[in-house]
Amino acid sequence: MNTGNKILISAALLGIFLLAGSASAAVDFPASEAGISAYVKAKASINLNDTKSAFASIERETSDYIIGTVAIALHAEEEYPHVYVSTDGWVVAYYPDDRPSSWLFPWNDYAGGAISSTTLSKAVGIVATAVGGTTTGLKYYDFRYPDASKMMIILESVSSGTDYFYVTIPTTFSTYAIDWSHYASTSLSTLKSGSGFVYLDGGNSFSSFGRGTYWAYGSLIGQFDNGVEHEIKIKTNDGTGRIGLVLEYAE
Amino acid sequence: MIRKYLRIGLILLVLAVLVLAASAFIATKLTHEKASEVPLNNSSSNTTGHASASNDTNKTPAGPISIPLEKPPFID
Repeated sequence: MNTGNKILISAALLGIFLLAGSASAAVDFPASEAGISAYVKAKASINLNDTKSAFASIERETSDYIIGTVAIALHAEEEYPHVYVSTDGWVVAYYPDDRPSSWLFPWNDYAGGAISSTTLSKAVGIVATAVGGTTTGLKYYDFRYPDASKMMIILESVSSGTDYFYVTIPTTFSTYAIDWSHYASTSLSTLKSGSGFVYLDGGNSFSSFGRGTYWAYGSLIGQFDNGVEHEIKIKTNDGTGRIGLVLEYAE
Repeated sequence: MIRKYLRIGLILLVLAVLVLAASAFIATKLTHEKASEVPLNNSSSNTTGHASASNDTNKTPAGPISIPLEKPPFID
């Protein structure tokens, strides 16, 4: 083989290796296990050892990525998001695919008003800080519903009373998730009737609590017709109640 | 003759690899340029064609926030 051909073959092989390296792949992200997620390219490259201080537990670790859970202040361990970090800079916080998307509500440190963060964005922020990266450009995606292009978060709070709101999904939309989370913190006093309830369309409550602080999650998919105005009512006795909905759909 | 065609084939292969590599670089650059969008704090407007939420008293929005769901570039 003459010199010219050797050079061409070498150039072709080098080009193939460079092409493979230029892809934006995060190695072995467990997409089949993930549900709702928040992700960001936090840095150009990450030393995985820098992430370990951010994890409450580590589940998997290779030379290319690490997966663990990240503690969220004032939240129970079961609410800790899983977080995947790759050496090429991706940070992905997610819940397992068997959990409603409403697990993203940060109830325990939410004080009312417009929601400005989720448990997922908080987890990404904790890891990004640990590695000296950024959360600028944080995005959301649900690995279970690749065709869903939008997510709507609706949140209503009530203090010792009743409130309600209406939701209408156009008939032309495809709906993939209508997940809810109900939070209530009511008086423990036996002299008071601390309790919380949430109702759909005036029917029986689909979530209820007694005295104390509780939260629950679920789905209303199959109970929510498109083109119909649906009523969500929340009632709380002697305390604070909140109801959050997460709708995932495509127009 | 065979060596001639082999040489031509190798040249075409190198050119194809260079074009594909350039395309991947451009696609990655465009993805990063779009990263300035901030989805969480954007409020939706309840205009026709959107999923809408309103309270009972006067049909004003119950504070819905609309967030785009975007497939990560690292997913095939």
